[in-house]
Amino acid sequence: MSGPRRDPDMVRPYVRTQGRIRAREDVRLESVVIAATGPTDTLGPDARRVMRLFAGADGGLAVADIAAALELPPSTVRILVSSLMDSGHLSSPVAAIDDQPDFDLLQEVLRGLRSLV
Amino acid sequence: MTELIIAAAAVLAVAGVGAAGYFRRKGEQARRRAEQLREHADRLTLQLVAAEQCVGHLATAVIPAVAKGGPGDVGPAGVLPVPAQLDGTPLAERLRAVPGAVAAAVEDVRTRERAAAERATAHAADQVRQDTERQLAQVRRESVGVARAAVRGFANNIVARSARLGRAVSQGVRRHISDEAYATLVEIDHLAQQMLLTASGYSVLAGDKLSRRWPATTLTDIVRAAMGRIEGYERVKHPEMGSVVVEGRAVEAVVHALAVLLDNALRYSPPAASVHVSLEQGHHACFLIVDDAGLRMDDERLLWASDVMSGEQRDDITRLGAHPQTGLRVASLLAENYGFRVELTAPNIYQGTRAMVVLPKNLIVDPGSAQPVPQSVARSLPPKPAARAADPAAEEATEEATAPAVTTAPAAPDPEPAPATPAAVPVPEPVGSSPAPATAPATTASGLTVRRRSPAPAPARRPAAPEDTGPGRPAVAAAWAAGTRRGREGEQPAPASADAIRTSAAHPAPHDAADDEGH
Repeated sequence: MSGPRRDPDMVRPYVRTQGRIRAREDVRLESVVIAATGPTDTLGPDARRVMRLFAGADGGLAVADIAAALELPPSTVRILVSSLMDSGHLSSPVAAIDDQPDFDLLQEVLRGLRSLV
Repeated sequence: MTELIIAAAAVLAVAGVGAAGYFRRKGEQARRRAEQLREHADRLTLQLVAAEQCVGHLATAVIPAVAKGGPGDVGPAGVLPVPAQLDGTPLAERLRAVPGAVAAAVEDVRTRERAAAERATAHAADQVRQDTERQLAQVRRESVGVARAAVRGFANNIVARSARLGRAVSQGVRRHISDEAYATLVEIDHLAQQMLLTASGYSVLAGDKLSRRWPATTLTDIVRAAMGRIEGYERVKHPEMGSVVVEGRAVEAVVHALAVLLDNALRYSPPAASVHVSLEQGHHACFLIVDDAGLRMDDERLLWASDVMSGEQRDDITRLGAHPQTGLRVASLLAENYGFRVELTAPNIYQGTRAMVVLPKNLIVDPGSAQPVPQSVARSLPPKPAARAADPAAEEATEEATAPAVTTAPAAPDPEPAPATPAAVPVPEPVGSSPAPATAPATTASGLTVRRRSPAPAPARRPAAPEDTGPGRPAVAAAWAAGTRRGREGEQPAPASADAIRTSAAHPAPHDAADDEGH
């Protein structure tokens, strides 16, 4: 009426995230997440759609990628992914990095190895 | 002889005496009779005089008195002093009856006159009343028209603006990725959606149609769209109802009616209780059921509600009262205009109230023509070709084509996306070049989003190619993941669960994944 354009979000973002408005700090757009196997019956429609993306893929997906595939706002997907990570349906392979030695140390080691060769 | 003569003379004398006596008696008789006749004549004369006087009195005094007197005065006026001379005559009786007869006649005339006067008055009053009613009706019509126009203008304005606000928010949440911006936008959006619900309710009451149009939509999304327009939507529980798709033209109406029912259910149930939405598919209709565990609607209110639903209580906008209860009226109007039904019953299994939206089969379409939003990458493979082959779906497809165009539009103005080229190339690069997670978050993040969204999904959103992109996207992601890992060179991440996936994705490279999915 007031414009030819249709609102892309018939279902509003806050409904999709069931009221949650903050994503986990460690879930960023560039974060890659992988799916754990398990029942998805209890999940909401959007969470299930996210999980279905992993059904055929044999690897991780970036949050931004999920957002693009589902045509959802990135922040909404970050929250959806956060919830799925909280419930254990998704996990972050990058999380392991926290436990690993820092980059400088690795370079030191590399340099040491080279000097050995 | 002489004796003879004497005897004859004696006989004659006797006869003469006898005759004389006879005649004397006869004369006496005649005199008495004449006396009687004179007396009678005298009496009659007296009576006549008396009658004259009496009639004169009657004419001059009694009748005017009777005529003048009220209906109750017949008694005293009716006593006519009849002269003693007339006592016992029929005339006296007749004369005595005259005042009564006159009084009765007068009374009769009076009653008739009164009736005629009353009839005339009633007629005049009737005319006046009719005129007044006509004028009142006209004034009322005018005032309803004015009120309607005012409400319609106001409501439409708010509807248009809040719909625009909603679209602005939809663009905003795609453009801004900061948590704060998102939280604020979402809060604004929730309020705007509630405004939209109220305003479009009033615009419907004022006689307008709903202005927003949607493509055919699954019941799941209809329920969730309705949830977005009310306070406390978190308490609404619903199952997946993707198998039922509602025809585009009825979608907004069903969403609105459902939002009203959900709002009612939430409002009348305890703050911690859930409201349950369920679906029952009948032969001729689908039943969307809203159950609350709140107070059971009392009989009076149920009756009122059913009157509203049947249209009997759905009076015009100027009769809403001091505390307008618009929701059910709007739902009822929408149901009538768009060909579905809304019913309320109580108690339900939770001792609360049950509301039902009955969607006849002609509002339900083939699930193949649902919204463009991809259900899933993997799942869209089998149904899609079939859906596209079907004829009715083609129609929807053209509509779909417009909808996604809208979705892409907001992204287009961003400066970064345009230069981005093939999907696979730029994706691994940023991560590969800076392996540490310490990439500059803001720029890289937005850069990444945009870059991934514009090249690869662009075809994905066209209804033509969902199959191609479906498998492609995870492959790209896998490639990215692999690239990230290769960039980190030789690191052996610990987690066992992720290991298998990771190695398969990393070494046999993205192509395998893509091939797998291609089948």
